[in-house]
Amino acid sequence: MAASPDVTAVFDADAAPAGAMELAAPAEPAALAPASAPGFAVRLPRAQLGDLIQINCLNRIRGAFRVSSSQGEGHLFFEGGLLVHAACGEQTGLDAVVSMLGWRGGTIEPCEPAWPAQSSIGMGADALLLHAAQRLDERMRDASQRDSTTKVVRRVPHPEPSEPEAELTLPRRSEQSGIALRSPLGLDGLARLEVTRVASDGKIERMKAGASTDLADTAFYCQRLAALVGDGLGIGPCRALACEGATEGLVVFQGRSIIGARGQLEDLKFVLAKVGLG
Amino acid sequence: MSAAALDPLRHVSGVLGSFTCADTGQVLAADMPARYTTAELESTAARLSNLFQTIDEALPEGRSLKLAFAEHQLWVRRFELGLLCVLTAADFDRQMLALTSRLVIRRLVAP
Repeated sequence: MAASPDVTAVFDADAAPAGAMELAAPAEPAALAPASAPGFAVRLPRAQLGDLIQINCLNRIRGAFRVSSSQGEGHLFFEGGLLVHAACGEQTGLDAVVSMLGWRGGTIEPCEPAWPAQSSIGMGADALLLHAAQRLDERMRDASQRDSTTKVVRRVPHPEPSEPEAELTLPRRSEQSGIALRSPLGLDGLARLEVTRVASDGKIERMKAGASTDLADTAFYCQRLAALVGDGLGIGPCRALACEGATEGLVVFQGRSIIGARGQLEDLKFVLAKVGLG
Repeated sequence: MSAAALDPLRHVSGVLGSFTCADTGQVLAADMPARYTTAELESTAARLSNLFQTIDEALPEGRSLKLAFAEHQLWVRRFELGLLCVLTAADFDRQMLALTSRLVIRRLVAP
């Protein structure tokens, strides 16, 4: 295993919002620096776990981090610009990340556990945080549904399975969208968006938050048409497109897959800014 | 329709050219770099109209369309006569473009 990044973090359970922390960032790309290399310890009082994920992915750090709080302990493994594995209690993958993002305070520190034999995530920070925000929203919605229908909840099939088995049916390494989300905990608007992911061959890979096949079809067809527009004008492929109405909007952007998001303009602002169309 | 109506857009920082077209794809006026032929612009206009029609199914009453490319952006606004299309560099004055495009559209629809 490569040397652990020179990063430590402490997050404040009392003063900070959910997931907020103080972290010490590496003075230089940690993947290139041995653990003993000199570096600055920087306290960032309002930093969040999402920030650490972004820093590590951006710097293509290879290393593991222990995330501890009064609510539990988990581990994050980074490699090659991706969060490749996460584990938290019985949970692994995106579910584990979502659990850790929901913690209110604690510490983050580099560690050297056994490197996982298989990756459970394989996403860059941008797509990871977007998916985590959606999953967080689903958990909150499911929890509220359970609270109000306690006597029948056991008889009703879960509307959107979130078990790891369901997650395994989807591609893991196709999430490089080109956008970078600053913080998953400021993404309430994002969580409300209808989001669909379509493969380059038109196959629908995922639909979230009430997204329908019409959104997937529209996203796919629009991306193809926009590519033709770019070809026709000799300005290359289309990275992203956005259509705005009076109150609602639609954003389509191309990573390894085609992502379509639809919702209120207010909720789309963040995505628009990140794809350079804000 | 005279291309002079598009003149104000030239003065917006980052704007490379503009053209307006009917919903059918016919180019009504153009002030684009010389390398673009009318046929190329009409082909682009037809695709943009098609794009709007496609989006209408998922987002009724979409009014503006923005496309981001590696080093360019294409802003498209719907108006009574068709579409106003503006080609820009990656960096451009967004606020000024929004204001100027409204002014240009008023000129285009003026009798």
